[in-house]
Amino acid sequence: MYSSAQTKSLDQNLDPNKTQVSIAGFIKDAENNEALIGSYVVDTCLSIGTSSNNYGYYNLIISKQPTVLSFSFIGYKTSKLTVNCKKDTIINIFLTKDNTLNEVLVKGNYNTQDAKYSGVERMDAKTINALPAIMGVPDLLKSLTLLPGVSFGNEATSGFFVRGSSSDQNLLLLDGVPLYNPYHLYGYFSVFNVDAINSATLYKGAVPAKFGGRLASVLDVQMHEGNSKRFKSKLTLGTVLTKALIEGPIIKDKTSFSITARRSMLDVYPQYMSSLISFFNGMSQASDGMDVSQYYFADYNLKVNHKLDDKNRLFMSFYRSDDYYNNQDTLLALQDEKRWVNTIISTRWNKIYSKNLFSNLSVYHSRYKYNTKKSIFYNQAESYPENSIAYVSEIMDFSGKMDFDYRFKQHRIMFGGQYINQTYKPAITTINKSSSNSNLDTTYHASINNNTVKFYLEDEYPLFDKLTLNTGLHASLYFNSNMLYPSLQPRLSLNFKPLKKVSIKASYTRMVQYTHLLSNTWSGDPSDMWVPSTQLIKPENANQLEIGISYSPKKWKFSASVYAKNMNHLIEYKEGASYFNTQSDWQSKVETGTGKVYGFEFSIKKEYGKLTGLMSYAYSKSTRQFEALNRGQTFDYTYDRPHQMSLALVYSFNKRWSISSNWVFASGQPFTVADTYLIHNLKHENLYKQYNSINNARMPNYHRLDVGLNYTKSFKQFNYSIGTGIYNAYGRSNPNYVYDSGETLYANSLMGFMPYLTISFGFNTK
Amino acid sequence: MSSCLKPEPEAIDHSVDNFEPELFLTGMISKDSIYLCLTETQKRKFRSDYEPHNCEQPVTDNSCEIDVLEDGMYFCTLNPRQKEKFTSCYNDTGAYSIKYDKYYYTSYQTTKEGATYSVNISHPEFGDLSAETIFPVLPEISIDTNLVYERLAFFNSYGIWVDSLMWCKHLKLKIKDPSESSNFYAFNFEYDSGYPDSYLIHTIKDPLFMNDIKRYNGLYQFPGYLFSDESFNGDQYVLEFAVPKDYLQQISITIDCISEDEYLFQCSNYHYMLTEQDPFSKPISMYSNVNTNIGLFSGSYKMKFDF
Repeated sequence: MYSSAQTKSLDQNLDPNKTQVSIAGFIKDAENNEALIGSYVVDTCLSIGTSSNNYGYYNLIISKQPTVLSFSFIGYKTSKLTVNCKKDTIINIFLTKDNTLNEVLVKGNYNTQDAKYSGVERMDAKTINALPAIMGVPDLLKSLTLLPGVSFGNEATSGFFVRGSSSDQNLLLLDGVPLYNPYHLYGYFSVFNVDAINSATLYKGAVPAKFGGRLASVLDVQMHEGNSKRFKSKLTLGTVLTKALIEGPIIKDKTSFSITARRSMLDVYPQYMSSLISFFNGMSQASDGMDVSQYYFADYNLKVNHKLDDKNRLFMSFYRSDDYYNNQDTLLALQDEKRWVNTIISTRWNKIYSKNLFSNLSVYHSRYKYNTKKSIFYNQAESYPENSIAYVSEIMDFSGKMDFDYRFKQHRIMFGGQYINQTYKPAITTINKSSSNSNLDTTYHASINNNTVKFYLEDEYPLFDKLTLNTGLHASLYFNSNMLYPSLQPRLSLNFKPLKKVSIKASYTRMVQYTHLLSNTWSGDPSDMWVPSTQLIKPENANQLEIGISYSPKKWKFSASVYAKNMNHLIEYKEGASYFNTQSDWQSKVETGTGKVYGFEFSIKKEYGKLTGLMSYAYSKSTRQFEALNRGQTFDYTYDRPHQMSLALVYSFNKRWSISSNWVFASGQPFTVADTYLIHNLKHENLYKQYNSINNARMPNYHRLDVGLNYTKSFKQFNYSIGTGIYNAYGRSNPNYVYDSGETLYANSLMGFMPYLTISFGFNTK
Repeated sequence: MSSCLKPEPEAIDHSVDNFEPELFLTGMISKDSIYLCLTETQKRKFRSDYEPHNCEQPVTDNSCEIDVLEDGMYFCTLNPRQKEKFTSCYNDTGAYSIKYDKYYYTSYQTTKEGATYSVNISHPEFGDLSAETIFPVLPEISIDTNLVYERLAFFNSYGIWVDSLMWCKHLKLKIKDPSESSNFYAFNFEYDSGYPDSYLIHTIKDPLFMNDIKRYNGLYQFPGYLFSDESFNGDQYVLEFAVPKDYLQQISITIDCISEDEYLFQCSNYHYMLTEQDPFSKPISMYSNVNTNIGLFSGSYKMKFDF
């Protein structure tokens, strides 16, 4: 199949006095009709260009003179089209995969809109699948930690921390809908199924004005729309989980669907998996006492899209992730249940009003619920049916939003608005007692309902020949009957190209965050509690400045940037908050403070050829100061890792065989050592270990090498692939946690080297 | 297929810099006395052969002037006393015993329910310390018992699972909670024989005790339970227990009416014990109502019921 184009002249706006015309349309994969997000369109005569949005739509103003348009997307053959448009025209482009180009490792900013501004990275499923993965499970969030400025949490977990910020300061969007808990099994796996992902874009510097609500970054994940030309299916068998994918047309070239599902196998094959179970138990029991053989996780993605006509398209998405633990001890008549669930339902309507105006209307619901219940059944048949204590923590959004993308001369103007109704149920505790003499059924804390209204306006335009400016304003109003928090968040980014292959970039971003995650553990726990801003707890805000330079000779890209960020109204638990009454309000348990982060990032990428790769180094310093914590002294943030380096390489021998490797290095993570003895001498002469300052020690440095080998064999209607490799190939004992034995501190590692093997089978119709 | 080779833990070097000792205050008001002890905090030394509990005994202070106020008025002055103590130490040749002096301050005075007591300490080196607490208002407590022939299931003292019909003592502890104040309680069961835990699991079935709030009473004692009157303030609350008659002859129940400061300290103590071995928990700092942020001054009144 070759690249092809569909052109259609538009009769409207046929003005003979106009010197410019508008070219607009969709850029798609010729094989499956999927939108190619972030593909690039350039007028080669005028050297001006634009990129496609999340729906593959682009719009470019060109002169009426004959010119050559170039449509490109990494991994696809570039399509060049000679046009001589006298009036506004729709050109839909279908690009074909370029099999002569080998695997692309980290899809960087080369030739894309992202290249214009600092701190924007893109990653796709192909890239993630090409890299070695722990237990053979490719993971989006773990792959992101290879990028400069993105650090990881504990060994082998999916937590990611952008530029010295906390994990809740990352806005995770799945098809534009916020996702609140991205982790399965205490963070060992992320809830993103790579088979369902089309692309993922991380904004850590210049955040577009349409995004808001988090301080550190926005991770915009787009799911596959589904193949509208033919049916495809895939079954992957792995050690820890099994997953399946099926996609295809419902009405050919008009309506398509995509369904993916994953389920863990830890509870299914307990004997076979005994070594793995003891490994996971080592982690989960240390933090929560959970026996993973009584546990499973699963996630499901469903997406349907329907093309109403050339100008209207509908999308419907459903997503659910489910973690469930149920331990019934019939001997002791005790039951311990835990469940945490993300649910997302969304509907979107794309409409092209004219060649210059594209809109998207979305309505969605997103919910994260964690609940746990401990019950005692005693004399069940008689007078004590059940005594229990239940705990629920929940956050739920209902939202409608409208986005517009408008082209006016050389201005690309994006604007829109959103309304969000948000319900929080932080730590609702229900005690139920039923007996012959005393009844108690008490629920502590009520739900909180808040509203947010947002508007944004963003204008991207070439100020003069070599300077492109993007100015934006994100305005929001957060309110309920007791409070009102307005905010104006200006955004400014610029791209100056003094030379053809050199760009100087700068940005200023102000972000405000109304939602906070309260955590009492280092490991990231599903019971971590989402709480709103209130009259007492003000919204967090941050200001970030960044200056960078990039140089892009053929096949290579060199980037460097420096940034500084300050954060205000951050919240943390008070010291000793965990022993406040269960019934006491969470607001009485927190302190507010400030944070400062600054750093330097450098990366080299090679995106074309048999050998592709990324090398990055980042230096950063992240500190916090709270008046009532650490005696008011500044302390290093828990995820402050000053030095971080990564090297990721993929070498493709041919279409079938490829080899890949990662090497990562990071400074040790800070932790708190209790360095003082207190002697409680009144009763039992108890000896307590106390700390004088927070994060007063560091774990040993982290480094690890992973290697992987992939083999793929394709037939007409069948293909299979085998992936094998070793995680932590030289068996480095990277610390997962520090254990204080009383006399000595021990850095404990959960794994040495870990080989893996995965087998995938794919089927497709003609 | 996958496998995992877990590496051995690796010792980390760590030194404690800029350590300055402070005074750690522990003080308790009971119905007829006030007792207070001051110890110096000690710097931890991280080395494999170091065991501070064994031979380096805490330095207890006897050089302070301590006054106590009741509702803002002078109440008494605490006087230092000395007590000889023995402790076991271990070295390469085995265990041996050493004697040391422990100092504390005390005064025997009858205290008042609901009164606020504050302590002011003046130390020649460490400066001034102060703390304040409210002595609890006592509840009315009564107990009903009766014998019931019913099915009980539990591990007996030999660790054998018993599930049969038997005579049980049903105990109902009725607490009439004072309405004018927030009240806090510590509850304990004591038996005439060992291994009480298994009985308690099957006989205490009140959700108050499932609320993960327990207290730690020392290494060889069963953890007691802490609860507040938040869910029944001013009302009567009934705690019920069923105890197998033939297995236990002598049962005692103790209820400590404690000040809020003692309650919070015991809660922090419990969480400290719970998380001390948990490397994923943020460290627990012990609750303190002393102006220096270390130490405790609290009130407690113990009631004991034998059966």
